[in-house]
Amino acid sequence: MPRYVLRWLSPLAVLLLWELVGRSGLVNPGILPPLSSALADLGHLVANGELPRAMAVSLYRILSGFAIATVVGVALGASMARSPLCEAILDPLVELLRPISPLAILPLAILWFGFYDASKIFIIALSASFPIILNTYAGVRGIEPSLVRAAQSLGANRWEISATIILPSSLPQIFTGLRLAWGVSLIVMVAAEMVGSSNGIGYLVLEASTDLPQRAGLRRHHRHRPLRLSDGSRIPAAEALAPALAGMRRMKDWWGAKTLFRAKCRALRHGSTPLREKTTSMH
Amino acid sequence: MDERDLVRLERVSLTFPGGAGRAPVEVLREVEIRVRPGELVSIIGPSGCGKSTLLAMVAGYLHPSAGRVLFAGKPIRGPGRERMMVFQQPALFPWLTVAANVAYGLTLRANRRGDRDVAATVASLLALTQLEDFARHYPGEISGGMRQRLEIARALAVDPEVLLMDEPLGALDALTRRRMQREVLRLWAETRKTILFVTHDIDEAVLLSDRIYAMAPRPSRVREAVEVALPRPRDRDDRDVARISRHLASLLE
Repeated sequence: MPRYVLRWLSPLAVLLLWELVGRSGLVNPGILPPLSSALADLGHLVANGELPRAMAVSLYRILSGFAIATVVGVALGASMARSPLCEAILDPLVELLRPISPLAILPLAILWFGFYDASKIFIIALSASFPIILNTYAGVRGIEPSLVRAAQSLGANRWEISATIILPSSLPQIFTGLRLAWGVSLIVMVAAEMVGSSNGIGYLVLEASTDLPQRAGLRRHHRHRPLRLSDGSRIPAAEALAPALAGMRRMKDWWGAKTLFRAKCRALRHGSTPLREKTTSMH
Repeated sequence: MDERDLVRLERVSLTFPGGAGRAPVEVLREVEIRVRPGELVSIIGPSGCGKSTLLAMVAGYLHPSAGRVLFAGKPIRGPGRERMMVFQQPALFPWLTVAANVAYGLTLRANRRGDRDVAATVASLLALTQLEDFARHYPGEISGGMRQRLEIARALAVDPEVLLMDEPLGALDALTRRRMQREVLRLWAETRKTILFVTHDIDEAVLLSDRIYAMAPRPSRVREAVEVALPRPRDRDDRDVARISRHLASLLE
């Protein structure tokens, strides 16, 4: 069998397993609906325009942020690698800002850039810049010095050396940086939209999850009842299930907290609720 | 003083400053070297004796701490296409094809020419270095000997006055090396370029050069300038060649 056919095998197997497990009755279809019903819902979301709208919003944010990160990251990384002065000035800043979680900056970003696209674009651009800066720096630093010398001897000026020698020979490493940055952008985009947004993919996911407990039939009262056979005797295996049941209870509490959180986000969206009230309402 | 010298090193010394607990390193001491137009001159010495450093100075990558490095009577201030380096480990641009590597220097602003002129120059240089059939290959796809010839072709493209060859054959196997030695002689005869050639191989120096500067190490200085006034092509087994080789060997011990 040719390789490209083999490459399809494992994803198809996972999809098949998904469908089978969903239909088997082994798991609550509310928690793991079979693939076919997920696809039906997908079709529905596409048809009513909800998913395309969310994707357009998210795509705009991620592409803008990623584009800014690419320009800024390559420029900063290359100048840090080529100029000791730039490195001395910028390196401490980069190392200081790099470990800060982008979501920790989101509240500030919202204050600075507003609740809409600009704040998301800002934190996507910020967090995607670092892998690009570091990889560009390493790529430009790793250039064989004799290549630059050869170009100098052949008559290349500074600009020609940058454009025709330094850029192409550090391109592979710059692309590594871009790939890493794209992954970071996706993560930050979804997370930012989940935490503080009223549209986009992240918001759609969170929104959909709010009615998941109902769909999964996770009702407050059912889970505490000991499982009994029709004659009233307890199932011996139920003892073994006790930890799992406790886990379920904890999960339910988590959903409760999440609903509060959603309410708080909604309040924030509708305008005036100050941040402090928001945080206290969580406890 | 000889007005006809194309390259001249006058009492050139180079000391790398110390610092951070390291003593300064004296690399070169009062080196005197002269190359007349059209000559093929070799610098020979053990590894680490500063031969490559000398060439880097003529190329303009390094500057002496004392003394003067002159090209056509003027001090050398930086790299320039009249003095082209042919590197030991070929410094070809791996993302360009063989033909594009040769054309690179001709597409720069400093020496831009018409497209047809570039194409003609590239074609003639590929023919000269017998690389016509590999014009569209990349440097990674051709043999070590071909890469070395490509280095030479790229250097010749900007029509330099002197070729600086830094152990250009050092990385080749013995058979390819012998073939390339004949090749260097042929290119030298056909292009009439001045060549300053660094090597650690005594036979190579004697077979190729008009004059050989034998270097003594640490700090490097010229031990003796040996004139080789023998007709080419020379044979390793020739009595005079063997005599000069023995003399060089004794100098370098």
